[in-house]
Amino acid sequence: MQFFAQQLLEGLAVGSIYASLGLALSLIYRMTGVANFAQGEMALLSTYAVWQLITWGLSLWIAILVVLVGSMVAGALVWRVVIKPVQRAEHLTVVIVTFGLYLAFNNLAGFTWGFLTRPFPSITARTLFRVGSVPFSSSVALSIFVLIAECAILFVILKGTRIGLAIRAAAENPESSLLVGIDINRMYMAGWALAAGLGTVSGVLVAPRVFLDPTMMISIIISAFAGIVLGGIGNPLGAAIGCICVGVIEILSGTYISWIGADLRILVPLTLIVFVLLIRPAGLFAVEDALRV
Amino acid sequence: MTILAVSNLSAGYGYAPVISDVNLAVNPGEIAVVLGANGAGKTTLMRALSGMIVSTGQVELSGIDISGHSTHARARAGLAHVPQGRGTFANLTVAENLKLGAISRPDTADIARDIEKWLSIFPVLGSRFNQRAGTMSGGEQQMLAIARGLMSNPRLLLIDEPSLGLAPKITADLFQLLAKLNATTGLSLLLVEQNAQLALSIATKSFFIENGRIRNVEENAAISDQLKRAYLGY
Amino acid sequence: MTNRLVGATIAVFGLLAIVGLVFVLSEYQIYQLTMVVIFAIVILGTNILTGFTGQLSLATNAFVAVGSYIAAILVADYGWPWYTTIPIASLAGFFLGWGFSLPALRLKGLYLATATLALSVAVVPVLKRADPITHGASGILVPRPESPVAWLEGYQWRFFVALAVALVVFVLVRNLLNGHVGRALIAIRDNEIVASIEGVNLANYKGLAFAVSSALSAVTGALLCFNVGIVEPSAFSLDFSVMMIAASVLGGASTVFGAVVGGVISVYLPTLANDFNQALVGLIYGMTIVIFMVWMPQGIVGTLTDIFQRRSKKRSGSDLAIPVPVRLYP
Repeated sequence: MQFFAQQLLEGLAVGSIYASLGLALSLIYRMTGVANFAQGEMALLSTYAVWQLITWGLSLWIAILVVLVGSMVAGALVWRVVIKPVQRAEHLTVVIVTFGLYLAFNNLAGFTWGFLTRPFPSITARTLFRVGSVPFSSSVALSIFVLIAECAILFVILKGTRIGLAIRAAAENPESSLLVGIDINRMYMAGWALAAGLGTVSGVLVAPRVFLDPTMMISIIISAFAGIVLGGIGNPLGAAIGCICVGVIEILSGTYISWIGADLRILVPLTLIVFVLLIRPAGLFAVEDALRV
Repeated sequence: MTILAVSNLSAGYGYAPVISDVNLAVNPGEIAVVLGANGAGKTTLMRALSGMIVSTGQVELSGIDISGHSTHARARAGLAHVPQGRGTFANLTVAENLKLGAISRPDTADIARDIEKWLSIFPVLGSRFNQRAGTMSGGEQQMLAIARGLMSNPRLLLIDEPSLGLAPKITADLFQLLAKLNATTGLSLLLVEQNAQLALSIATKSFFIENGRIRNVEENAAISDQLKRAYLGY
Repeated sequence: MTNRLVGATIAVFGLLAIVGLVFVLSEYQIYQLTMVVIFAIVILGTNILTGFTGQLSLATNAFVAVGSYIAAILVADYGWPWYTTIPIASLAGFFLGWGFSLPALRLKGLYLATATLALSVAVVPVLKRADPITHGASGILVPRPESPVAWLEGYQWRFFVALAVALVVFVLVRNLLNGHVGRALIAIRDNEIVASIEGVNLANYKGLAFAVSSALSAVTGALLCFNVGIVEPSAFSLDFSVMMIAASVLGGASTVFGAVVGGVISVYLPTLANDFNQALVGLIYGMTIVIFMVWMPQGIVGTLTDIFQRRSKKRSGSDLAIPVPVRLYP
């Protein structure tokens, strides 16, 4: 029983990391109608940037802060330069462009930093906690805590501030937003900036666990995609819940189904994706979005 | 100084212009209505005025040249446009819709006070304050859209076909409300309407659009018999 | 009429020139040309599915793998003659593609892309794990077909085989697309709803496009097997599919000729870039997708064709290119 609880917590932790990326994906989709497959590689570049800053002597926290801001700027730039021109074009174009970005960013990381696997420092010291008789590590606690914090911050920003209202309006009805004086392009950039920040957080959480190399984020984004497919692509809260479910299912099936080794673990989110798409493509918590697809 | 001065405005959606060489002016405190048949170019005119489509010509709002400005810049300059079909934020609440009307106002303290003011004039909105706008009836949404427009303290309120899809009694009430607003606050209005009779009942000035051109301007909405027969059929 | 004659003459002379080249160039250069031809086949398949029918599939790698592994297993494990595996691979690709498309094409746009993404990512781990059949991560070594005649070297013979297969494929596809099938596919790409109202059975035509493109991928896989000499899992990754899309975009997706251009790029770009850095290849591919989709969605061939057509004010009747639809990629 204790073992099961441990695995469950691990699943929640992994799911929380997926949810960080899933929130980013969902936010971007809700705002600009783009399922940004390159989000994981953008997070990868951010994580490498943190690593680079640390190597140059900055402390971990300062590095993370600097890159957080930098990645938000970069995210806004990516929208402005690449996505904005094709946003109103055929949907197929945008999807292909995001895969182009994925390939470019992934190889940019490889080109700049090589393909060596590197260790990455963890934000928390490796301590062990205990809830009742169930032990769990600080990284588990951190991941879950970070997700809760992210959701809280997003909620406060989106529901409690003026700019959050403007962002929601721009996502909901771009034309009417213009008519009330909202610069929707700025809102889209804000959305992409927020998403990039969320992505950076997910990268920084993943790297200490699996070590830093250019292939680090591909399985994360697949799982995050599975999470948003499960939860409904336009619904950020549903995406978060979906991602957590994917994390739990992944860990539990990896533990209890013996022939799923480490190499086949990726089949879990892939199977989930296919399963959901076959049965209920709109996802469990779908937001009516008939025009998007 | 005129609130709105339009000269040589042409606009369209492709190669051929839908409206050509439109000239019109709206003075402070006027209720100007634009009448015309379906397809004459009324909505195109509205969209050109708020910068939603590319246009040539000059548009001045209270003396400010807004001709090259984007839609949101014009809105911030004081041009509130209530679009055809109302354009409410359906998934947001009435409260949020109203707050969005004031989203570009710097004076945040007065916004709450203004919400109260408009709620007292449109009481039905108060009863639905935290409801999602899309769940309201057409007439209620129309009032919400107008209230949202008013929340920005505009110099000029553009309303595109307010009677569209609404029952006669509701539209009659609505127009009376607009007339009252104009009388009490001096609000300047530019209305586009298919329901000529209703529009003329509150108008101080009327324009007729035919095939994209302004055919006639009537001050004080006194229309000659000839025009009446030509455009209104009676 | 004269345009067709001109086009046909160019084609004949072009072929003669190529045949002449084969006896002049070095083995490595012929090998590269062989690869161009082979990649042109799979890129043609991508053009049909994405450029013509407007469906995005990321699962190209899966069907190329099917072709490669079928060819490799039949020859290496069961001793079948190599030439039998090419039609078998194409049939396998066709029917597997059709089978996958039956449930998959109920999905639209992004959802379809996601489903193909799932298939694509599953390929490498499954290939590695399915040891007994696929020989796992180490792959399968396949002896390259040797020339049956004395006056042709092995690498020359293999080039001609690839060329022959490609010509057959191109002619078949061209005939397919010039007829009502092609028009139906264009109609589907431009507006599915209107197409179905006009009587186009969406499921059948989309499924056909998918099946044909999968068959072409499988043929490419088989040819790759016999020219590279080894078949192993890591070659069939998601990145391969994305790169094929890149090459398709660059070449100008809706044209046969564009497929050839795509093939050229597929072979020579990595060769150039690999001198610097392995990652540079992917970086350039990725950048070109972005640059071309944003600023030149019709690709090199499409944009040039467009300019040419506008100049000559009428459709050019060259036999080398499938009639270019008004709105190309996407």
